Amino acid sequence: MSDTTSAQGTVEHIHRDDEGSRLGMWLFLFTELLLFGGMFLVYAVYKFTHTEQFHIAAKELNTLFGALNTIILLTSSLTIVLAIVAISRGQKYLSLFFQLMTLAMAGGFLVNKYFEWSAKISHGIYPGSEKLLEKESGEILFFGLYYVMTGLHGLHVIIGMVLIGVMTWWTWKDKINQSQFVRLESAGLYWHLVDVIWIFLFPLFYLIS
Amino acid sequence: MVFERTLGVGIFDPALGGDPVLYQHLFWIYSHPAVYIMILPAMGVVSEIIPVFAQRTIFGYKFIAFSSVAIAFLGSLVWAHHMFTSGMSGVAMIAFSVLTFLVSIPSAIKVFNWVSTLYKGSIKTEPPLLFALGFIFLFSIGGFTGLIQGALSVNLHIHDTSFIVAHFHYVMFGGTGFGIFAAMHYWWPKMFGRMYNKVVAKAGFWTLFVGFNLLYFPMFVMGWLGMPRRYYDYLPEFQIYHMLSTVGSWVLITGLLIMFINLFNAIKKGKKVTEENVWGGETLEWHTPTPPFVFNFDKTPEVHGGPYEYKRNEISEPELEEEKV
Amino acid sequence: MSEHNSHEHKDHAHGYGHYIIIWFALLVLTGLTVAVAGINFGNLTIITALTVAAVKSFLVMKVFMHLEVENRMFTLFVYTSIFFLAISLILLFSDYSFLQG
Repeated sequence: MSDTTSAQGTVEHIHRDDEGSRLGMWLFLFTELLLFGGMFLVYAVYKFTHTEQFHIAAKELNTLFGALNTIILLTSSLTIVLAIVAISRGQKYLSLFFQLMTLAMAGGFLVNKYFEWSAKISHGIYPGSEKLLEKESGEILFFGLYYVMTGLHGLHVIIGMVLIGVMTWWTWKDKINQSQFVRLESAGLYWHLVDVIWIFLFPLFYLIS
Repeated sequence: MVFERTLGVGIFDPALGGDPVLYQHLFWIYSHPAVYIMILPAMGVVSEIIPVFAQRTIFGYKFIAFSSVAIAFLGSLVWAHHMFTSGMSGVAMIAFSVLTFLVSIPSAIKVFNWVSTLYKGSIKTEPPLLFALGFIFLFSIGGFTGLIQGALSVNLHIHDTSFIVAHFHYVMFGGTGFGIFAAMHYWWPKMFGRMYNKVVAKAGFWTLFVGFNLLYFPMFVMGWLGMPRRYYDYLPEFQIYHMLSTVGSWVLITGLLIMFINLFNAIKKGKKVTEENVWGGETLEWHTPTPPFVFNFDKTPEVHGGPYEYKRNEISEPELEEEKV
Repeated sequence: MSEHNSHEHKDHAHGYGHYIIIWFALLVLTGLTVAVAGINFGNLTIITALTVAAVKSFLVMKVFMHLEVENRMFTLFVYTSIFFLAISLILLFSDYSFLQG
């Protein structure tokens, strides 16, 4: 907290509030929860009103790809938190290793997604395609939600990768170090939320066949 | 919506199996709490101003504080009262109507406590108080008409009429708007170290108040008589109401101009204020220099009373540490 | 509230092993949910899947996101957000569950 001030208002200590920084990230995460939460609400209503067709449409998705992506993200969650433990113990290079592992796995997730989506699109199933429009309305809704929700999630993965990339750079340059690493913690929080969202996306799209 | 239009996703498009009512649900799940977010700070301003100008401790502080929490909680559960005519199930309509009636209670508690604070107080009729009183009056009308709209049977007839338009202008403009004007008149001298012309400020208030009611009250009447909203043309029987509203709008704008010109003039040319506490307030900002310097206080101030307590300047000044610039 | 204290506090709170154990539990739960999905329980399948997802999220938030060592307020905030979403869901279904035709 700021300490002594002279009458002109100059401060002698720089204000620092790690708990506040983390709270700031949590508040942002709540807005993300509401963003995806709203879409999950839409999903819930349509699944209720078109149960059978959702079931049929879900069969088109590859459960193996989905499960693999789940494992990748869960592991990347582990590596980012281990990166935080490492830096809190002053182990800079171990922390860098874990951060790079996280980035690698995030990249792996996106590669997987690319294969999934291109397979679907090459089969003619994408929003607005003729093949999709011939299907039942429930199936059209399912795929509409699939593309929007996993697409938005993928966008968040990319953002997370950029964020963690910046953290890696800062760790390398010692701007993030043993005595100040709250930025890495906040980036970790964001990454974990991306993971949590996928934890719910996975069963709802891949496991209802 | 963007995805729907550009990519043909079709989540709310009936032709593709989507449900437009679901869109309305999602829209209002956010937008209704948003209006409570807008009104709560204005209510906070009123809670600050009334004790100072009635020179009495605020009545029922704990209830005022908890009612803010209640408004936030209940206000998140009433969104579908914007959709009573869109074809929801009977169960949903009844549920939301009941919840809408419940959410009026904490607001009413606040109004009651503000008025009780004024009772037997030593009233100083300064511009901030006038605007705060204007808030209480106008917001109450807006609130009551909100209750009228919450009744399912009545809603069927007044939905999408100018009755609704009048209601939300009373709560948003008469409520939040006047609350912000009150805040401006209250903290202007502290912020800029200059006092505006109080006589002109009061004139501005009354012009605003008369203009506001002249503009919006006729809308209640004509909405009740069937005038739809968002129509630019109307039947001859509504002519008189539209004329009254139009004249009201001229008066309202005049009031706004008077108020804003008065305030902005004061920034450079107002009478200089050097005392810390021009209104006799008890909250901490009145114990900093006018205008405050960076970080506001030299040392952490000591607090001797509860929130909005008014001890009629009985607090001994030496105990409040402050440094003159 | 001293930053130095909270770092020491975090440091001693968890070692690497703790996180790895939780990660393993998450993998097991994932395997469980995939296996259950293969068996058709009807409605129960989706309920099981969502329950497992909730448990996984709970573990991630509590351990990986450090809610268990953080100020209690943070946990309260998280529960409040989830509560709000849950109520929105319930009220939303008060409409769709009772529509006729």
